[in-house]
Amino acid sequence: MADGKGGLTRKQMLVGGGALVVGGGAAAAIAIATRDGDGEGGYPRAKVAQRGDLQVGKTVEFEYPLEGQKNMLLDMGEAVPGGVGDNSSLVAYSIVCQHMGCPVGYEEQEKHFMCPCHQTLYDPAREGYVIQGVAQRPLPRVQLEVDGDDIIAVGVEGLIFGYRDNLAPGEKVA
Amino acid sequence: MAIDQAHEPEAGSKGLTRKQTLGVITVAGVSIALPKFLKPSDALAAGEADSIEAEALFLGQDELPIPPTTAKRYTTACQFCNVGCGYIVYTWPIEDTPKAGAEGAVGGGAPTAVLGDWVSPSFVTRRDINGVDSFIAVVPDKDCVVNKGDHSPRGATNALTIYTTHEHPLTKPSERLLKPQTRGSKGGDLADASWDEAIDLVVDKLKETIDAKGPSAVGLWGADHLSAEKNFAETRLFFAKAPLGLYDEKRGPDEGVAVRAIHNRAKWNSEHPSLGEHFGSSSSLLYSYSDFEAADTIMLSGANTYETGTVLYNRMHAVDNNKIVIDPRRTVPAANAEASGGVHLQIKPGTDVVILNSLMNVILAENLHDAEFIKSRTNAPTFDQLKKTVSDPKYKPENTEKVTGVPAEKVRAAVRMLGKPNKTSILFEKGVIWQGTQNEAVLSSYANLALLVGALGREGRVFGRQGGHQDAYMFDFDWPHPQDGLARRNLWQELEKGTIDFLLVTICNPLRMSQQTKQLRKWINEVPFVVEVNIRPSDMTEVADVVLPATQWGEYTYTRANLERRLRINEQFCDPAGEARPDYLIVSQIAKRYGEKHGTLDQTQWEYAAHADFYDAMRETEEGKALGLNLLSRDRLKQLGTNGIQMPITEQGGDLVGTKRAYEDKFATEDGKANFVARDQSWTDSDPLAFLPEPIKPNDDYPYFVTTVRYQAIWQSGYTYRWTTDLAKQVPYHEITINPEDATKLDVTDGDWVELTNQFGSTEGVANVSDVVQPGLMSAVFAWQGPTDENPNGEPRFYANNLVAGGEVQQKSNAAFFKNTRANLRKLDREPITAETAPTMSLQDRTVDDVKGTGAAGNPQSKAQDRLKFPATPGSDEPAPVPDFEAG
Repeated sequence: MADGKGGLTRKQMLVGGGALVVGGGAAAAIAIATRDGDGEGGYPRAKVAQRGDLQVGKTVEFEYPLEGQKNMLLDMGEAVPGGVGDNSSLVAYSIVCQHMGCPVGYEEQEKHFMCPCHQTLYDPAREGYVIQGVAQRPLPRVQLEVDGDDIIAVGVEGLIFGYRDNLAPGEKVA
Repeated sequence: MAIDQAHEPEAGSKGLTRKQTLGVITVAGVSIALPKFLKPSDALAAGEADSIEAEALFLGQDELPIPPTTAKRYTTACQFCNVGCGYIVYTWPIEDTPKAGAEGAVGGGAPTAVLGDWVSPSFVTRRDINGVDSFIAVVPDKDCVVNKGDHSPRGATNALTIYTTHEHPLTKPSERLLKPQTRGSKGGDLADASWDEAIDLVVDKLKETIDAKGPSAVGLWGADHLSAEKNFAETRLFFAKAPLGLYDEKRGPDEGVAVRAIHNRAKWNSEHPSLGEHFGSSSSLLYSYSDFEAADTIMLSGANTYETGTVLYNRMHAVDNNKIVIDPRRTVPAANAEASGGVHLQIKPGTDVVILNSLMNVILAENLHDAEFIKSRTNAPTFDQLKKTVSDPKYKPENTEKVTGVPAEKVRAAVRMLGKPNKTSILFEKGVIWQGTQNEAVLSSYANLALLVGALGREGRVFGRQGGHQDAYMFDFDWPHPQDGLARRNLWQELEKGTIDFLLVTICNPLRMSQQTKQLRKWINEVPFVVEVNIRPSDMTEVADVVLPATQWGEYTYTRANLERRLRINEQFCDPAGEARPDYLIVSQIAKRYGEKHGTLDQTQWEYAAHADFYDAMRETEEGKALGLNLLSRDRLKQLGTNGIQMPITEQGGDLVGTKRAYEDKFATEDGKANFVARDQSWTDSDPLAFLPEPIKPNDDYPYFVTTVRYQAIWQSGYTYRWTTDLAKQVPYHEITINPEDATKLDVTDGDWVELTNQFGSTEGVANVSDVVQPGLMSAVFAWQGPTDENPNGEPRFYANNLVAGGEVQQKSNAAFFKNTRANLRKLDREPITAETAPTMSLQDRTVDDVKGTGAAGNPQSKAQDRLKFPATPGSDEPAPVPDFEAG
C-alpha cells in the first residue's frame, strides 16, 4: 500500500532494469518483469489503416495485438475523447463484448456498438462506455498513433474478453 | 482529460503524461508496466493521481489473477436484485495464483470462448483475510438454474463492493462504518466508542423513552427485505410480549412501536394488500421463473425487467413468445416487444384501470376468457359484477384511446395474445404498485385480468410481482405485529406529528429513499435520539446520535430467497470490516443488554451468537414450520448451494421437495375460490384524466408528468454504484429525460442543466432529450445519489425523491407516488455538460433501436401470427372471427 502521496512502502521495491518486486507480508515476493517487445509494455506496433481509406462513420476491422483479437477503427467525424488524428476523431475498440464475449456490431445510423446477445450498447464517442445494458466494463480501447498517412495501433487499455493478459497466449500481429 | 492526447500537460499538474496513457509509468526514474487490463484513468477515478503507482501495483502482477484449483470455495446469491443469481466465491493467498498459461479453477490456460467462463477484472479484488494477503474472485455460477452464468452489471461488480484496505483501481470500497460512534450532543461531532459504551447508551435511551411515554414513542425504520434472521431479531424485540420483547400488553396494540420499511410502507406490510380481496392472501410470489419460458404470452406491466431484473428478462427475451408491455416509456422490453411481433401499450401515467378494463371489455366481447377456469375456481357473482363493469361501452378501446393515449388496434392486438387459447403469464412491479392512492384499484385490475384469462396456478400461466430486491421470506415468526396490517402505526405519520422520541434505523436510508425527502429531513431532525445501524456512511449518519457498524454481504452468513421463493444460504467468506457486526446480532445484543441492565426482557432468551443460533431458532417458529424450514437443516441448505430449494418445503418419500407455484389447487380464501373485484373509473370528454388524484395531476403550474425510473447500473440509492467507477462513469450526473417535442418548446438540448419543481420540492439534472418518454412525461432517477454529491458549481446535493408525494396522499398500506408525480421544468443558467467535461456519459437514447414491426396485427415477420390460434386479417381493424370455443 502507498504510505502517502507518491511514496512506496517497504512492501514495494523496485529492482533496477525494470523488474518490479511486490512483497506480500512475510511471504516471498512476486517478481514481474517488464516485457520485451517493440511497443511500450510489449505491445506490437501495427499499421491498421491508411488515412485515405477511412470514411466517416464506416468501420475498419483489424486484429490486434494478437491474431484473433478483433477490433474496429472508426472515424467519428468530430473530436471525441481519446480520438487521434487531425480532428481527434479516430478511435478504435475491441469488438468483443465485455459481458459474455459475443462480437458486437456497429450501427451506423445510431453511432453505437450493439451486442446482439443481451443488447448492451457502447458509445465510441464516449471512450467505449456503456450507454445502456448488461456489460460492467467499457470496451477496451486500442491506442492509436497517426504517422503520416498511417494509422498505427500501439497498445490496448482494458482487458480483452476471454484473456488474462492481452498479450498471451497467441501470436502477435506484428 | 484533454481530448487531444498529444498535448503534454504542464509540469507539476496532475495530468497524465503521454507515457502513462500507454500503460507505463515512471517512478523514481524507473519504468513500471501497469497491469495490462487497467487504464490509468480507472486509477484516477478511484483515487488520487499521486497514488497511481500504488494502485497500479494493486493486483501485483501483469495477468489477471484467477483462482487456483486449491482456492477456498463458497456459494452465495448476489446481494442485489430480485432475480438472485448464483455466484461462486473463491478466496486464496495471492502467491497461490496460477502462473501465465496455467489452468485455474475458472479458465486460464487458453482464451475463453463466447458465453464461456471468463474472469473479468470486475470479478476480482484483493484483501487481507484473517491477516493473509488474498485475492477474492466472485464468479457467476454457470450451474445455477437461475442464471446459468449470466449476470447483470450489478452482480458482475459484487467483488468491487468488498471492503479492502488496498487501493483498488476500479472502486473505492473503503467507505465503510468501521467503529461504533456516538455524538455527545445534537450538532456535535461523532466520536469513536466501544461497542459496550454504544450499546449501553442505546439501551439507556430506549428505557428512558419507554418509561416516559411508552413504546409508542419508539420508531423502527428497518429494511425488512434483507434477511429472515434480521427480521427475527427485530420482530422478537419489538413485538413479542415481555419477557421476550418490548410489546406492552397492558397498553395494547395501538400503543406499540411505530414502524416503516425502506421506501414507503408500514414494516412487514404488503405493498399489494388488495390481492387479499381476490385470493385470500396478499402474497405475490406465485410463480417460478421457468413459467415465463413456458408461456405463449408474457405481459410485463410497470416492470422494466431489463433494468431491474436483468437476468430474468434475458431468459424471457430468449423465448420466442408474445410479449406485451404496459409502460408509459419505450423501455428496452417495450421496444423488444414491438420488434418481435408483440405490443407496447404506451399508456399515459395513471391510466392502468382504464386500459385494463378496456382489454377485458374486448376479451369478453370476443369470448376469449378462460371460461372453464372462471367457472371452477372463482365466485360467480363476482364475475357477473366484473362483466357488468367492463362491458360498459365507455371501455371500448375506441373510447378509451383519448384517456390512455393507446390506439384501439393495439388494444385489440394485445387481446388476441392474452386470450384463449394462449397460456398467458403476467408480471407487474413498481409501475403498478407505486401509484399511491391508486394502488388498490390498479393492482386489483391486474388481478381481474389474470383471473379472466386464467393466468394463475398452472405451468406457463402465472401472475405475480417481479420484485426489486430479494425477499427476507419471514416476518411474523411467533410474534406478529400486534396491530392488523392496515392499521399499523405508521412511522411516517408519527414523525410528522412529532410523537417519536427514539428512532432506530437499520440498514436503510430513508432520507434518500423515501418520499418528500425535504420534509422528512425536518421531522427526523426533531427526533431526540436517533440510532443508525448501517454498513456505509449515509444521510442518516449525519443526523444519528449513535452509529453502529454492520457487516456487509460476504462478511457474515444469512439466508434469503429470490422472487421464485428459492431459498439460499449466503455464506460468509471473509472477516468483518473493522469492528462491524452482523445486523441481526447487533439487535440481539441490544435486547440482551436491555434485559441485563433494565429488566423487562429476559436476557437468557437472547443468548444468540452465531448464525446457526438464529437459523435454528427461526426454523422452529410457527412461520418457519409453515414454510417447511423445520425440515431443512443448515448443513443441508449449504449442500444445496446456489440452487437452494423453493419454499414452501415439504417432505415426500424421504426427499425434500420445493414448491413451484401457488394456488395450483385452491386459493387462500375461506371457500378456496378467487374473487373478481370490479374497479370502475369515470371521466369526461373535457377531463379525460378526471380520476387522477389531485396532488399528482398535471396542471397549469406543474404541466408535466414525472416518473422515477431505474438504470441497470444503479442499485437503489447508489450506495455501491457511486464507488464502482465503471458504473458510475456511465451516469455520473443525475439525468432527466425529456421528449424532443417538449425539449423544443423549452429550448432544451442534450447536456443542458435543468430543474424540475413541484409543490414538494425540486431536483436538478442533466437533460437527455429522448423519445423514450412520451410528450408530457419526464423521468428522473429514483433516489439519485451520484458519485459527485455536488453539481459542478459546488451546490448541495439534490434528490429526485424530493418531488414525490407522501404525507397528504398516504394510504395505510402503501403511500408512494414514486411512479407518478408532476412538475414544471426550467433550464438552468449553467454550462452544459459536453464530451470534454463528461467524456464517459453518453446522452444517446437509453433504449434499443426503434421498432422494426408494427405489432402482431400487421407484421408479416412476426411469429406471433403462428401462435394466434385463429386468423386475423393483416391491417384490418375488425376483430378476428370468434373461434368455436365453449362459451363461458
